[in-house]
Amino acid sequence: MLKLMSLEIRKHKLTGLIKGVLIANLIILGFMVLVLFVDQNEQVSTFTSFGDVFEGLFVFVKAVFIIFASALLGRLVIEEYRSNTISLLFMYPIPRKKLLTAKLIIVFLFTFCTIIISDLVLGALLFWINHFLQIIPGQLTWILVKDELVKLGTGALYAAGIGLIPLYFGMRKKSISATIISSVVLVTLISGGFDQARLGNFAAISISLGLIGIAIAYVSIRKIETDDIT
Amino acid sequence: MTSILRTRDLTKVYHGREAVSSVNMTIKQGEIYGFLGPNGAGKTTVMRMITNLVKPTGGEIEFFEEKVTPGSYEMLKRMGCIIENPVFYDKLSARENLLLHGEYMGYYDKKAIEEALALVKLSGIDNKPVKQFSLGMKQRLGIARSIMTKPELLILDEPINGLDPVGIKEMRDVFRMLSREYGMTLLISSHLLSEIEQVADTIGVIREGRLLEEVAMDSIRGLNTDYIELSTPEVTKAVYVLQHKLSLTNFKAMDAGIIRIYDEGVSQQALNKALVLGDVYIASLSRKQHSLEDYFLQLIGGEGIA
Repeated sequence: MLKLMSLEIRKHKLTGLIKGVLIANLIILGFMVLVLFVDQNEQVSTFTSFGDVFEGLFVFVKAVFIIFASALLGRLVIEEYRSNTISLLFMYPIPRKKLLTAKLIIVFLFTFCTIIISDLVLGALLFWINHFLQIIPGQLTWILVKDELVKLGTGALYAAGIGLIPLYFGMRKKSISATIISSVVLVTLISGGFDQARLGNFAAISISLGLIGIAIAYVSIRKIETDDIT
Repeated sequence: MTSILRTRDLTKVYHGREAVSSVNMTIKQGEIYGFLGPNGAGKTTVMRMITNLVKPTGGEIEFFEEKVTPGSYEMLKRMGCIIENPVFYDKLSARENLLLHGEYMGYYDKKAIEEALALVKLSGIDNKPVKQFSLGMKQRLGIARSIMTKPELLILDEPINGLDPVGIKEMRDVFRMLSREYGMTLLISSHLLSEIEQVADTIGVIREGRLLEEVAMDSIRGLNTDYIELSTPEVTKAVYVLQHKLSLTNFKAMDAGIIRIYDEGVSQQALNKALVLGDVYIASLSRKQHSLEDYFLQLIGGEGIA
């Protein structure tokens, strides 16, 4: 499986994604700093503590990388159908479900890892920037950090599952735009809302959506074995 | 010769329509099997079923006398294929594509890549991405990819599409060489008879999903007959001369004042003389060959092949 995954990475030149991830992170960072500055001049400020800031950052990071995952799904799975390289791939002496599983594991791990790393790095950077600018009110405590880390781990796991949901929409008509649009809609649904009333903040909803993503991946993998490739 | 591939009542139904109906074909080891039929006859569907891309609705396929099932992946190691247009990861170079192919096929002989590229005369392509290749170059690269793992069965769907006449000749020589020297079995489809008759040992003719005939080329080459074609407005008079003056029996009056004379003992010159003496007006008189083309045109019903 590791071999198949490394072949996928080579074939689709996925190392080039790192650049995209860096750019996305810079934009998130810039946006967060901007919001913090604007927020300072508001009468009722949104970010009243480090907890609030990290919460905002996490929602942002998750949203960006769930959409990123859909682009990756488009490239690894849907594009193979569109350019018909899938018939080449499925003529290799390797079970189709293994080939597809390798692709989906890449997407899942990519989403999970980029969310964790980005959130940690950006969180640290925000803390460091705040050291000079003092724009975030309150103190950063160890309890808060520990709390955030647990939230981050579980949240990234759900998000990685949610990142697979667009596969369902993309596979119906083998459309990359459907894949990406469905992820944008999904992200808007779970990240939109006011303060704590975000859909994504209800653990039950996040867990269910994450499981739905995994279920979609599972069904796609099972179905692929009997599909006709024309 | 033992058979390398055999299908029994192979059938594929798409949306209630039979794209392939009860095809029974036998490909013998070491031969070049030409799969001939007009566009849309079901050639590609049969090939997709052989390579396990499409699952048959009915019937079965045997590869090396082993039944092919949806889980038969190991057998794919022993095949090399191009189905329809050759597809590549076209942002990668030719060599990268072949390297990947080797990795997926479990074939790690680096020398094989250079050999295959040289065989299809694609050396010196540097690191250009395949995207920039012409159709002919892609076709050559596709053939290189399918033969680099030295498969026992090579399946080529319309392999010379997009090649120029020189390229076609070169590929024909490559196919012959693969068969004679490497002992590969080739299944080559085409809608052009002229393309196939020169290389194939056996030809299977398919039309509207049905395999009409499977014949060894040797046996139909023998079917070729020579005849003299006489064109005249005075058919009755001409027939009289043929029967009574020349004592010929083996001839046939066709439509539109054409008579075909199959008797071997008579020369064109003698015919001419007798007809002139018999006062028959001759519009034309010429020696013709009943070609393979006529044979296949008859089978297929006159459309699509030439």
